[in-house]
Amino acid sequence: MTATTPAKPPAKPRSARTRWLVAVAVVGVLTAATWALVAFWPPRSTTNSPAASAPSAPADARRIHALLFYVSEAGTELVESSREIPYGATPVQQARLIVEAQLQPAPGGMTSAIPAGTTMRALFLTARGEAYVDLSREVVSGHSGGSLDEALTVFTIVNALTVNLPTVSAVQILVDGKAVDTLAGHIDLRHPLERSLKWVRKGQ
Amino acid sequence: MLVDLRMPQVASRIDRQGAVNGRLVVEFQPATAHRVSRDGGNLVVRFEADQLDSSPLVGVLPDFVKSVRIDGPALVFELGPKVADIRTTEESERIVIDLLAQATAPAAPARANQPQDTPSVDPTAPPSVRTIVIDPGHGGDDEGVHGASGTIEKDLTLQVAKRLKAALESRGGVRVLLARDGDDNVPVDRRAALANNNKADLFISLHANASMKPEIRGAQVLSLNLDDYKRRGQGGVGASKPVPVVGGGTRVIDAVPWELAQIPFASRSALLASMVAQHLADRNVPMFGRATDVAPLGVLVGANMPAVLVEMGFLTNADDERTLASGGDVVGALVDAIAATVVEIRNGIPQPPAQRPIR
Repeated sequence: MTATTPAKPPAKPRSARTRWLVAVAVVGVLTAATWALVAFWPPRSTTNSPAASAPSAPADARRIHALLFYVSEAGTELVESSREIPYGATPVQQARLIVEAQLQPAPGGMTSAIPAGTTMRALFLTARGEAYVDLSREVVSGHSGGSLDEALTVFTIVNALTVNLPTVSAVQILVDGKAVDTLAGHIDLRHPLERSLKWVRKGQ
Repeated sequence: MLVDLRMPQVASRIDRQGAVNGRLVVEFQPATAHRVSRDGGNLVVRFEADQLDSSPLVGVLPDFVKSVRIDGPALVFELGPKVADIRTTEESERIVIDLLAQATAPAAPARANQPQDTPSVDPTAPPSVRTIVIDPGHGGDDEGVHGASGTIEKDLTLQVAKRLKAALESRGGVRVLLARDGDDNVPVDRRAALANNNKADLFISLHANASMKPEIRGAQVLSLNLDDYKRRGQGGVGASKPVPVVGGGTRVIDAVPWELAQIPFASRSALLASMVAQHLADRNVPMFGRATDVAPLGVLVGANMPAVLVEMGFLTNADDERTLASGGDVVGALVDAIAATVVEIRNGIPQPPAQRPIR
């Protein structure tokens, strides 16, 4: 009796499936690489801003230096403070990261002009370079009032965005998703406000 | 300055010319085309501009000019009873208008029928300030600043506003309206609208300040910061448009966007702020480091007249809260300083300062 060996499966179909899988894997890797290149390439529009001084580092850990604003020791104006904050891939992402950093408690020895507990609900940019920053209601309910402190609160946000991001020309603050006349009865928030360094004392 | 906005700076003054005549001089920069005309009892100097950045009239001669107001790109002088004729000399950046007294003019028969007109004119009558709107800041559920000892800003502003109204009415003889006379929440635009609708000559908003630093104290007088409204002014102001009138036909009116109403008055408001601050300091009211300042103040931007916001002191400072809440000398000095400013404006301002003295 002649032993018969079972017929080997044809080699050709198995080889074709392997090549197909390899091709799919290559396409996948190329897609991921392209996405990573697009997502983490520094945007051209921020080349002149402090935000452009991103150090070379792994993309998910890159940080930038941004100028944030706090109340001076005298309490009568704002002072700039250079802080490291996460890098944002696009102007709107960077704007959100700047505002989130600005809403954090002030570093040691400094005071924030923004009421504690204020959070950012949303931020978006228009084609005209106007940033709309939607803050939580604590920015109103936690505000002590007075035109001085109200001006310092408003221009902390306005200046943090317009000083660091050249693509942002003006900022309008919204509260709880709605446009408001003022935060505390004084500073006109019915339209976007431009950078105003008259409220800022240079140095610390 | 505003981009794309033609707003020449205009200053005018009136003096006696000889024994019986008056001379009105209107100076402006840059050189701007203009036209001088008579309109009933008014003398109108209309510029080819969008708005005017005009200083208050210097000098008081109510027999020749009773008042002056800005009407879009025009200065409208309400002529006094002595003016029978005018003679105009125009230069590139200046107009000299000789106001010739009745005695030197040809016969004016219309006057003969109203001989009582001239004697009835009080030479001390206010040339420009007849109605003032006082705005007690905050109100209703908008309570403003809370002092550590329990003083609430909305109550303080109303108390001081009522005292100021009484002082101005008795001492100044002007009509005073309050933007609120109870504990009401009045939107900022409604406060300015009250002044506009009543053709107020001055708008004064009373507030108390706050700081996270309790040692900060002192009064401050604020006016509108034009720089914060550059974007909004780029569309131009004062566009004329025809509107239909009763009985048919149309009438051309100058439409001024609400949010730009204060812009032509910004320099006069800054001057008003300086005057109030000076009178406060003269009366030993403690002053904030920046006695005057400018800011994008929502309650002022819609006011169609000189307008300031007076921060009377910091309720977050124990001394300021105590002196303001007591209603004593400091409040009396505040009221007196504002009343003195109104009287000074009525009597004419000696020199129009080119720059605000304190910033």
